Amino acid sequence: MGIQGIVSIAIKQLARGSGLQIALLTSLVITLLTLVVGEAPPRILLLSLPVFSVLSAIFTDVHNIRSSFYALILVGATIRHVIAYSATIALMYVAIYVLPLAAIRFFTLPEYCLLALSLFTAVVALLITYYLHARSVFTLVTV
Amino acid sequence: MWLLFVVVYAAVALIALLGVIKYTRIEVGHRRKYALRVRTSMSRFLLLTKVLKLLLTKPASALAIIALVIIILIPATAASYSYVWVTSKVRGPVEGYAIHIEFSEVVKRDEAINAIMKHIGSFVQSYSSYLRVVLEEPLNLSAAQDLIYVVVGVDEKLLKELIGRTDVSGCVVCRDTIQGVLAEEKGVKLLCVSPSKLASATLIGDEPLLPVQAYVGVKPVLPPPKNVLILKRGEALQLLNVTYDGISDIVIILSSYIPPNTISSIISELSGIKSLRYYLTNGTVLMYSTIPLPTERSIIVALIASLLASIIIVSIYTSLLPEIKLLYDRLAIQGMPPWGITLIIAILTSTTILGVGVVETGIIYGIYGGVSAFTSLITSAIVWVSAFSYLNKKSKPKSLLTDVYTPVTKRYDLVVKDAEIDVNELVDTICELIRSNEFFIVDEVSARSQDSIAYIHARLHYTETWGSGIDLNVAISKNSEVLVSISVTPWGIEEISEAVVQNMISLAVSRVVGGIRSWVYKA
Repeated sequence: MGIQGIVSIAIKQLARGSGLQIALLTSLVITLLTLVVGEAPPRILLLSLPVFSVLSAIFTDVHNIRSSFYALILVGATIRHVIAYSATIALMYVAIYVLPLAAIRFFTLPEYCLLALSLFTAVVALLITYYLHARSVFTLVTV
Repeated sequence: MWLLFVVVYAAVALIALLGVIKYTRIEVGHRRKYALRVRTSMSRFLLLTKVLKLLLTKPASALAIIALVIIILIPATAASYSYVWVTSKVRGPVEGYAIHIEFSEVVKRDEAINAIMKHIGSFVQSYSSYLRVVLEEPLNLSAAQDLIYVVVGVDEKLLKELIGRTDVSGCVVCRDTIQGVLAEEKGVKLLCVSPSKLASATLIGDEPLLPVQAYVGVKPVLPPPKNVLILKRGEALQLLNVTYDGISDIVIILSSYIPPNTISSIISELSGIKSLRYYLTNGTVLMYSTIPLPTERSIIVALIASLLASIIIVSIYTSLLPEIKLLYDRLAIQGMPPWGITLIIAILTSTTILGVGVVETGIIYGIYGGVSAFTSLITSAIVWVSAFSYLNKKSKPKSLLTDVYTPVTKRYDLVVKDAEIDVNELVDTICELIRSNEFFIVDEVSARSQDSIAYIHARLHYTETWGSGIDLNVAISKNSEVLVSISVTPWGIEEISEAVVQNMISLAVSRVVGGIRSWVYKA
């Protein structure tokens, strides 16, 4: 079992759970909130939102991720594979929250640009998620 | 420093000692049966407190609380407010555009004028200042018809409009003097006027000269004219011992129309405004409400923050649901009714969302004011409702969602295929099982046995209620196998729910059936 296979499994597993959908939804809402709220609240409050969103998404998928770890270990995965699995999940969440973070940092950009980009990203990501979910390709038996 | 260490050491030693004593008391000299009895006699409040404590110590709860605290702060810090214009019709004549500002107390004239000029100075054609004061202690004037409670200070222009002359200090409703005659009081020349003249006098438009004391419906209540003293403003200030140039009202005549939003800026500049009326030429008056209302943007921010908080908190608590269900299953075995899970979720969400939200709203009110507190309260309430509804729906099994309950049997026949069982021993076991049932207080247990037949009757009082219980009958017969027939009849002198009755029956039957099975297995 190679690292590429583990990354593929992590992406598919994440896509099957509801954590990713929650992350996408909160990413969209945080972007909206940032655009509407302006500069009034302290920046630290807005910057902390993606952190809580990621944590909540991970909490939602915690049982799936935990069972995946057990399954991976059962089929002979080493610590290297587990780290690759965790890193893939973390990177996917970071990628999702790049948009609101950018909105918070550069909200002087035209608001409609950020909003359109946010909506586009969310729709595409949701389509990909549901496509993967529908196929339900992830089974450890096939690893 | 050494004293501190001694104190810390003594405290730790004391806590350890108390722990040891508590442990010893639990483990030594107490039978398991007694320990169980103590637990089930726990009050429902204490039980729910323990459940809540168990759930609050989970990391997910802490994360939910921190997320909520931070998200509530966002609408609070971003909240802004505006004042509302209320449109009305004015009955009196108004020439051109005018503004009447009434202060809740006497303010310095220069400061008020400067603030007004700063914002709308280029539109001001002229202005007049007035002083209207309700006295705390009445003034006794020999010429006046009655005690003076209200002193009104006017400019010479208004005094001339009122009494047609300015060579006197003011006017009053006199005691026995004819109208139009001068009365001198403490060196002040006052003209005697009729009460109706004072009552009908206006500042501008239909705004009465006499200060409005209250409203009956929309009709203003004015002080009786006989209790009012009209003076030139300067002399009124002297009479009232006001050392600065004070005013309570100002009427500004404008040269042209000003958008109401421009006038709104005066409100934020001036403090202590009681009312502001903006007279337009078409007979309309805009009354400015001094109650701040949140802007549309603030409400939108609060709603988006509510949505965000709802998603985050619901997803966090979803991860807690398996543990809540497990906890409920354990409590259900001990007699918690089916709606207990709703109660647990309600308490959890109320404590962590509504409780935290309300406390934070109070703090925000103290720091940021009412508008910020209002938006925070909106966020808290929406998050609580959405989280409670979602979790409550998700926590229930489908059978409960459709109100389909499995009926509890009142009769149960147990066949034991071990013919070596001694009937008397079985009777003793069942009696002990009945007596040791921690959910009931035993009123009566009687047993009769003869050869291979036995009969047990027990009257049990359910501990969760005060006047309900069951009659338990157990018939035992032994041939090639042992047949144990259990029947239960609930009774009660109080109105209890069907769920509680079902609980009683199942707790009594399951104890006897389970006890016999385990006894047979051990034997």
